[in-house]
Amino acid sequence: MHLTKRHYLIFLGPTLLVLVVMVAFPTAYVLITSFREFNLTDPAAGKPFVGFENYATLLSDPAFFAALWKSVLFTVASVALTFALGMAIALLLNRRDLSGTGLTRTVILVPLILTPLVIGAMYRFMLERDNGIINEILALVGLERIPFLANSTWAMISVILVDAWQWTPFAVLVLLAGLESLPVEPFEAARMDGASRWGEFWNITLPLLAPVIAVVLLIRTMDAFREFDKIFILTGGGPGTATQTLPIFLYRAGFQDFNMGFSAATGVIMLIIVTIVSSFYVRRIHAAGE
Amino acid sequence: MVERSSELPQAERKSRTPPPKRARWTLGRVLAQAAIVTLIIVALFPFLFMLRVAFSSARDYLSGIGVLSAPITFENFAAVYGATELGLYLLNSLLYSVLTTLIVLVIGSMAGFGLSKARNALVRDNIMFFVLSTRMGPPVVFAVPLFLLLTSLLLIDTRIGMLLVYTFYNLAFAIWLMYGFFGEVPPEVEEAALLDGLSPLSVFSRISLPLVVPGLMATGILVFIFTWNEFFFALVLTRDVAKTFPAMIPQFFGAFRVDWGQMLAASAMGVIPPLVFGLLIRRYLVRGLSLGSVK
Repeated sequence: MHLTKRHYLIFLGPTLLVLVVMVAFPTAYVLITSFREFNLTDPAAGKPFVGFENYATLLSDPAFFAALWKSVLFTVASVALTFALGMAIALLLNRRDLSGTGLTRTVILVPLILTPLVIGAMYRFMLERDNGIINEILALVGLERIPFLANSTWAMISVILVDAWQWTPFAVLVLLAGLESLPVEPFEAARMDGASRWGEFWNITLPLLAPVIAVVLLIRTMDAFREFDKIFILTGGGPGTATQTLPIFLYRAGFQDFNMGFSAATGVIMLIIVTIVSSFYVRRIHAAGE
Repeated sequence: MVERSSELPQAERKSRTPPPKRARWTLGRVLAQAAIVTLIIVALFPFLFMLRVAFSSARDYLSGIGVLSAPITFENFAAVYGATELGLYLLNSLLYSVLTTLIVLVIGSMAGFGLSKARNALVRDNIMFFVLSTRMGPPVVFAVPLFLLLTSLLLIDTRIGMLLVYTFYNLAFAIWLMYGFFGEVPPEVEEAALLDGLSPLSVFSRISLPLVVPGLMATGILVFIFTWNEFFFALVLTRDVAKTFPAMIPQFFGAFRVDWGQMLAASAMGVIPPLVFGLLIRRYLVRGLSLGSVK
């Protein structure tokens, strides 16, 4: 079916309008602002161009590199955990000799649908040191109470676990859909050759599932990298800066210090990272689609 | 790739590997069954616990594990209705979610249709990449310019402003999905309709669109849930009249004390709409969540 230019304009016009106003403008604005000195609390100073000064400040700021490191740590840990658990659970739910697998498939949708901010708030209560239900249970069985959100190391572990709680079902559902659509022939052939279960998984399931795995890993990576809501309500980036990932760092610079030039430069660097990863992603998806 | 055999009818696929009848309870099977039960508990416990706290008095929920058997009371719900604008915020959330879903489905399916017919692969792929990058871009990066843009248009803390932002926030995602769904419509069907004298616009609305209704459902439910759950833009772009349900939750966290009961009562009210919609049409969720890569 061939469309004329006029028809393309009709079909794509509204989209282009929205994208130009709401995407091209903000992106251009962030880019330009990143070369200006601009603080909302000091309007009299104007917003003079300062070249790469914001970037220089950013790249010599230990707090920025700390935030970048926290982001990488949070993303890698959350994605790895989500994927490992997701794979194990998908294999479990794919078995035919267990009851309750259908119910489980529905039940695990709940964490995915719940408002992320509510998940964070809910866990903040459950993880309280003195009244939190998790510490109550630990105390009940004779274990020591854990300062989940008050200790730097535990705070990072907690936000990672809460993120994994919310997103593991996503990995499960996508991997399960992948598992169910695998051809049966290679498995039958392997069984005839007397392959072990582990060998079957390693040599047949994993390679056949590779495109689906790529989708899971990359969508999860992008989402974990920009995670804001749950960390914001669970720890606010604290204690101190223990869980201050890049989005929290940027939020503090922009909406608490009102340092627009500096926060724009941080935003540009985040966009560059996201673009690199998502271009890899698009190529993977295209390759998988063919 | 993965779709091939999933298109087989459910019964046929199941029949290829019949469930072992009366399989023996080996140790492995007992452990696997226990894992399933654990999974259900871990997935549901936080939500059920939230409901339990919402329906109990402060004395009970601060008393530790005893809250599980405490008497049921509606006092938190009464208090939260009396003391906050929860009703208004829930209404705003509903308004944005419904309208954004409708707007995005119309604009997004038109764009998806148009792009799926584009012959110039280079142009098409670049537009699709642009579209995707807006979905992947962290909202926090766009927050400052959107804040200044809405301020200069006098749209800060207005419903119109939030509708614009949410349309932008979801449009890319909808185009990406609808592009995939329209790509699956057999071209012969559309060609035949063209030969019968239909204009491209009629082919879109009368032939192709009805064929992608499952895709519209998948896209629609996700846009609804995303909009309902969105927190960051609501946090920085609203103060009062245009505020949404998620954006009100932080107000319960005072500097010295948190009213957990009221906070969780408000939360319980707020998560009902997406849960109901999401679970009712759950089979469309997975496909949408994986950006259409899994059927």
